[in-house]
Amino acid sequence: MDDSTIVELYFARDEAAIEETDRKYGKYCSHIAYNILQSAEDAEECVNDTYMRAWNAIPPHRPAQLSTFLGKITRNLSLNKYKGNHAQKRGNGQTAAVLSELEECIGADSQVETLIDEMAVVEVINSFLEQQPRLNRVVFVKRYWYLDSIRDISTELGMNENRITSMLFRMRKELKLRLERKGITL
Amino acid sequence: MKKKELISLIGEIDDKYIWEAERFSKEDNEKSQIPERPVYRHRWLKPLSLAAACLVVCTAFALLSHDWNGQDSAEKNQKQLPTLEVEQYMAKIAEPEKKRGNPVEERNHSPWSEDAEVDTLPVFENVAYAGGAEGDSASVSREILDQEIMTAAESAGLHVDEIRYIETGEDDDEITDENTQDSMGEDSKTGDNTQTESKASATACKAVADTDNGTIMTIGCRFTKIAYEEAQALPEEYTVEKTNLTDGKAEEITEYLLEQYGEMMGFANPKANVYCYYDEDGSAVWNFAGYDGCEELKDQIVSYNLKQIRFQLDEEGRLTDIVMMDKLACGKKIEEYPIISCEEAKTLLSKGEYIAGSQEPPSLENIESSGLVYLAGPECSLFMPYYAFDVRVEGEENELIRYNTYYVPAVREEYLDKMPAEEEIQ
Repeated sequence: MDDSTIVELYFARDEAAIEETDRKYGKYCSHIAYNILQSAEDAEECVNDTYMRAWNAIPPHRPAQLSTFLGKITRNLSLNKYKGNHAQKRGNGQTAAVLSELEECIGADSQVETLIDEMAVVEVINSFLEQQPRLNRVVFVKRYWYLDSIRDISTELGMNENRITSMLFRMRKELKLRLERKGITL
Repeated sequence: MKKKELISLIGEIDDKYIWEAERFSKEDNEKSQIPERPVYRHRWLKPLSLAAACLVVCTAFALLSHDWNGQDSAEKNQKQLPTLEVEQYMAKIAEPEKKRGNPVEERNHSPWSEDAEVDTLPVFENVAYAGGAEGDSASVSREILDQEIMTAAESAGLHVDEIRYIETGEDDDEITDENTQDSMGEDSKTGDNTQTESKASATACKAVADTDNGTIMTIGCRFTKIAYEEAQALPEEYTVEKTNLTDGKAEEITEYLLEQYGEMMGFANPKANVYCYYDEDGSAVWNFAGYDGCEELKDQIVSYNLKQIRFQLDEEGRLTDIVMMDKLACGKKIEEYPIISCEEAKTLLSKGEYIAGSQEPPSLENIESSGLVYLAGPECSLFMPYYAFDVRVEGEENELIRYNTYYVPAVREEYLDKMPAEEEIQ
């Protein structure tokens, strides 16, 4: 079923919208959640919460791209759950590794204070991604949005792991530079 | 007030990037690297083009295969090999220092021996050759140096804090703020964003990275050294004080280290190269190294000489350094060249066709050991095989001998534009 039809089911308050969403994007959302949480049980919980959030958001919201709309909800829910589970310690695993890598772009305890700052940061990141070669951009998003492991990215794209590591290292440096150049204090 | 971490903010990027990453696959990556195929306007052109191409290939093959001058085909093929232009013979610069020790130990561990049947060996062009006698390597892109450092750091379990770049001709002490890149971003002291952007595509001949436990240094000619600030302890079964080390234990330790770190070199069949020799002071020095034990003897000889990893341990048996040499990465193969035998090389030695020895031809009776090696320093424009002869110098001291090593080109003379005797000693 295409996205627009699924969205219409939401608008019609037809519960089949959830079934169709799960059928089409269940694996996708589960993949995102599991990458972050590394627990099938927690991932399932977040995916179910995603459907609930989508049900509450649509209508009035009409997502242009249903997959990314759902993916973002799942990602946020999963990250919040991860933080709740690891409040006191960094821990091991993919999410910890990604957080550690991103600390190179900012200070360890830095946080964005206001909504305006948040928008500015997102704008810089978007601009940064726009100017990257396509392959570099895809690797960056796979690593820091999807939180895919280096190994999985390597397998999926047929690239050497070391090359991916090196690529991400240079992009983190460049992103940090751009943030600093824009005067964004993180 | 709402606080968010960077990872959450990355979550808010444009949908189009998320969508793109979701859809991008290995096939897309491969397609992006394939040059476009020519477009055929008419369907019959493609088979006709293929037929024409086949005809050209067949005709060319027939022409090339025909023995126009009635010469032997094998001889004709040999003569088609390009002449090797040796820019300068390495180390034919001054009288070398006489060495002490027992060269036989090292030679015995080479895969080559005098009765080995090796008729040809590859010669490589040193693409990192900078053209100087001082041994500087040519500059390469910083991206390549970064990649070497990051690969080494990942394998060694180190976190890179800062990378400094050194240009050809500079000393490490001459590193200025302009050549420093913090791993977290450009050095803000420059204050010049345009200059910083141009540095991203700049080159350097060497990079040194500061890590959370030591340094990593890499040179454009593919020499990388990891130096731990705090020596790494090995598992108990592989920890032995040097004074108590035996050949068997040293081999075990080396095999363990190859297992742990050998992947950096991409060896298909890691082979330990372990032996003990004596340095200038008469102290015992252990060599813990490894190379690729390929199937073919020829390939083993090449790997032994041009691609090795070496480990340094302290007196307590802890790992202090890892040194990686990969000349094959900066060596572009020219061709396989016929080589002379060891006996023929000795004849040339007696006639003065050698380098790095004294000006007086040595007595063949004083040859202690011989080897088939590659000279592949940064000052070499070509990585060529040589026969190495360790010749005893009169006046032995204690149990160690004093000797000179003489190198005779192994490639047949007809393929070299000049021989060592033709080159003036500087």
